[in-house]
Amino acid sequence: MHMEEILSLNSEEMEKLSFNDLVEKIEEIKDYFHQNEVDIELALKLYGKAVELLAIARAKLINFKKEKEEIDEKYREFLERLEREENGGEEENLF
Amino acid sequence: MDRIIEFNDLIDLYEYINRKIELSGLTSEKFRFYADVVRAKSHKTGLFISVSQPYSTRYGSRNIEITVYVPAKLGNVILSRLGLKSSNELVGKKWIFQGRLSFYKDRMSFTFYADTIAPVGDSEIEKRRKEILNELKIQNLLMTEIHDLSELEPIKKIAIISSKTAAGYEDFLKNLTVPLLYRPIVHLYESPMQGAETATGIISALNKIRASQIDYDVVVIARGGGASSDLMYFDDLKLGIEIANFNNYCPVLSGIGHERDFTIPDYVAWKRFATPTEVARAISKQIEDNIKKLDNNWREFEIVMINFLDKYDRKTDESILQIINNSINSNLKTLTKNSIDNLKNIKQFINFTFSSLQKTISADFISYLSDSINNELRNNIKFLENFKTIISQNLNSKISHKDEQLNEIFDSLLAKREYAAILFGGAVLRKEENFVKSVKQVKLGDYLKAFLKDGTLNLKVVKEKNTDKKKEEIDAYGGNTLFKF
Repeated sequence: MHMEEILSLNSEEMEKLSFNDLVEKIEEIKDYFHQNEVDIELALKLYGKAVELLAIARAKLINFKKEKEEIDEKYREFLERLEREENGGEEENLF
Repeated sequence: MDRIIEFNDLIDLYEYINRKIELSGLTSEKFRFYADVVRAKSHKTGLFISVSQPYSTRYGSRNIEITVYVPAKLGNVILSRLGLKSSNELVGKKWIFQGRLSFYKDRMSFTFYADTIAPVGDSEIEKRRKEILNELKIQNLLMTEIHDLSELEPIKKIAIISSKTAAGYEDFLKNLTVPLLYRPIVHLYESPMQGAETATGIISALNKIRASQIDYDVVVIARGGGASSDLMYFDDLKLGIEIANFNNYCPVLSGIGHERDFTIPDYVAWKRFATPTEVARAISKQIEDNIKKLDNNWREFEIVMINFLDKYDRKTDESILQIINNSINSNLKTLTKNSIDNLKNIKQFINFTFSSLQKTISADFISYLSDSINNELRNNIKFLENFKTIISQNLNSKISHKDEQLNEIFDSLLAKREYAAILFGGAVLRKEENFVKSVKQVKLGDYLKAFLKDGTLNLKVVKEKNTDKKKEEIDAYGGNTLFKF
């Protein structure tokens, strides 16, 4: 992907990228710096974009407390519903 | 005498015995044994299998026998897993039975409640597994790709299928060593992990996971090590199909038994791990690798930017230095040119001034100056001599005049005899308005005034002597001070 395409990515598009895609783009920017004579203006834009990509990738690694609590709650409610359903159809004990 | 316990009926007796058995914990223990099947009968409530073994007594050979009961819902599963069409095929062979003892009320005897029947020897188990694998292969459900957890998104939500009390579940949790911030959510979906209910339990758990609508990143099937007969119930075609299909929804990671143990889930799972511990470590590593990947990229980016900015700074410095250099050179050239011109001008000016001066200062002028100075000096000396003469004459005149005045004063003083003593260093005494010329003029207690050349004294007569005698002593006072002569 060319640098122009990476620079044109907005927040929503970056959020949709997988972790590995984000890392890939970060590395592409890094390689571009190594392989090209970069103008200061473009360099600052690319650096800013790389920082954004890194922040989004980092957020994909973290289990935020609120998110975790919501998922745990969903799990608890699901198990409770299953338990209620199973208790309704209890099998006859043979012995 | 022994105590006799009396019961009104058999039910009372049964309840007493049953209570004793329960208190002993016998029915809570799990047993596994090998035995020959002598009879087997299918009933709507389940399989009734008689197992027997002969033993010798002094009266001859006898048989020990127990009924093995398998509930109907497990009976068909077990027969299917063993590859048997009917319960009759169990008869005449030795099998492994696993389960618990139950005190059967109708007969008031022990029945063995089996959840597992396995063939003796691994060959049968292996044979059955191969048949399942062939079927899975035909259906193209075997996992042929070798996956790595790095292919997956960072693992944050894990559904684990295991038993709450199983060592495998505990091992998994213990080995999930990830920093708190990145620690994944682990939700347990319980399933029996041994016996005939294993496969159905796991399939049920997979269905629950899907029904939960929680987008788990991976599903882990975890069970610790055990005998082949424990693990053989993982060898189930339906379970294999379910797991293989479930991978399309969410990757399934298997961690069942030990390194040497292979069960059907291992062949169809997205990735197979030898043990639950190994699964947990691999997940931890994936998370840690991802953290490192970002950390490293961040550090490298910092270095890249620092190097870039350094390079840019240097480049900027060089161009600025070049401009300064050019400017200095240009200014220097201008300055040099101006300086040379100025120098020429100064030289010309000096030359001109010198030549003018040379013309102006001649020997006549110097001679004229010398004469003027000599005349001035002579005039000044003459003036000073005249001034000295005038001063000297003036002083002599003034001195002479003062001499005359002094002589006049002296003469006038001499004319007044009473004061003459003062002129020669003496004193003049007066009593009131009269001059004291003799002691006779005074008496004790009189007050006198003495006039001297530099002032006056007030005196009091304190002692008197004979007229012939001179006063030897006079106490004198001046103000508050008394003087003695």
